[in-house]
Amino acid sequence: MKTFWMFMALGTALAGDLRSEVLDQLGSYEGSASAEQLGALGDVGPVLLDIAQDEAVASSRRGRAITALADFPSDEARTWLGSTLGDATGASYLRRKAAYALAGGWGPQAVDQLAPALADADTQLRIATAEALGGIGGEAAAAALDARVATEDNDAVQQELQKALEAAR
Amino acid sequence: MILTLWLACDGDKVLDDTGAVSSDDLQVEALGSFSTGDTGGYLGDVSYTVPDGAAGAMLYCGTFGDSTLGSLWYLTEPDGTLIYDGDASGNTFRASFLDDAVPVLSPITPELPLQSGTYAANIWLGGGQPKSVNCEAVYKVASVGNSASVQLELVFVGVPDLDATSAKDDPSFQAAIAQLETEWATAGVTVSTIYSDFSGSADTYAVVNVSGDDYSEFNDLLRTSNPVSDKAVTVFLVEELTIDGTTVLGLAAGPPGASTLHGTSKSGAIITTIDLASAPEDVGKIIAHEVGHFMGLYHTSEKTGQTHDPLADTPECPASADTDGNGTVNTSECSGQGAENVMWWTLTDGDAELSGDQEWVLHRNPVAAN
Repeated sequence: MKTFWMFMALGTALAGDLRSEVLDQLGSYEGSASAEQLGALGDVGPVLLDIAQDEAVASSRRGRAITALADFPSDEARTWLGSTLGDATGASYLRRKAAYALAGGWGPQAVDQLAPALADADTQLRIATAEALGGIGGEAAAAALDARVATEDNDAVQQELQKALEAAR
Repeated sequence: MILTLWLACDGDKVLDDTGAVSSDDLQVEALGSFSTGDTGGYLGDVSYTVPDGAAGAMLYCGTFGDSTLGSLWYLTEPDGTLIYDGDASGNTFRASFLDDAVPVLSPITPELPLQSGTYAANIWLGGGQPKSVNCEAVYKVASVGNSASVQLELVFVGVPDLDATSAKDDPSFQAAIAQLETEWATAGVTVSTIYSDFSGSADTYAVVNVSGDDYSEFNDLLRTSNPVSDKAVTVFLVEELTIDGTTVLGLAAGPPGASTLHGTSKSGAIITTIDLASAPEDVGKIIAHEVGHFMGLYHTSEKTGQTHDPLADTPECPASADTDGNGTVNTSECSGQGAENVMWWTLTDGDAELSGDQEWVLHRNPVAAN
């Protein structure tokens, strides 16, 4: 029994070390960690999702954790990203990160999740979603962007829609 | 002590008595137009003459467009010593490939103190097509002591629930400024600030997005810099700066930036403020770090641990410290080896500090008032 608790304590310490190391990597001033750098630390997917959801963590590190989830995809992550993107009461910043992560991690499969955000009340989210869809490219993404062009009345968003359409086609 | 000036929201610059930052110690030398012609991309010798008594100098050549990269390739001191050779490795002097314009700042290390007399710089421009640029040099002629002050014009660009007026009473923002003040005080630098609201499109620039190698949005925002004082550094506070959707905490023009020149793509720094609510001190750290880059400081050690700044007294964390083998030297692996420095490559907890050599460099930058 004593050995069991010793292993449990060691596991908890190692998990704490991993989280601490991931947080350090996510704090880089001018660029975030690459998938290779994060992946080399261990099984970081669950840690990234935990950080992404942790309201006690600084916003930029949560945002970078969300972005990194694209490189460590899981069904749990996709579900959480979808609900974060769709939560109109949530923080605009985290919703934007969710849009990019869905596009980066799931590509064409994420178009249906992303498309509704093109009509969101949040201007910056619409810009981010347009860019994310442009990055996915292909027929479905272009169709979603094209459908929004006719009704979008914000100049900055319209400009991004045009850029994204060009990239998607 | 922080000296703070408040600006009216209509963009008029309103200064109080503490706002006078003299630029009497600056001298500008117009060097004329230079062309790559058929020189394989080299401008040829751009000569500039540092006057007696100068503490700092900055050569600036531009513009050649956001889609073209250029770099200092050779730099020869007045005594004939070649201190930068783009064909060699291990130069003590530093140069970077930059788009649109190339600033060359001296000194960036006490090992290469500024000399009076004529420097010769040769700058290489890419892109293949012949290009012409204008060059000028700025000299700071002043005695440098143990203290200096730097004026920052803080421009609020669509930061949610914060502008030049509300920031003065905003506890989170003031905590950020206090952190900046604390960290720069370790180098004998005091900060004065001017608060200003961005007059352009906040929808366009509240989130500054760099896509791939396209830095035009970043550059365009810096081109709007127009501070009240020639010596001020413009710091644009945006909600978020991103590169391909990934948050970047901050980026300085250059480095180094175009000290005392405004309205260029190398005029200032852009700072992500998304952490103001959750970790306000971090925003102060980001400003301290990025303006450090603008003024000629480099990371004490880059994240791979393979390259280090050109300063003798900043600790180095070598690649061999990467005990977890992930290709980066992280904060816990580099305790006592630079991780406590303002110019460490990643955010750390607590108050970071600057070294004596870093202080030496900051005090000699043309933006610093002595």
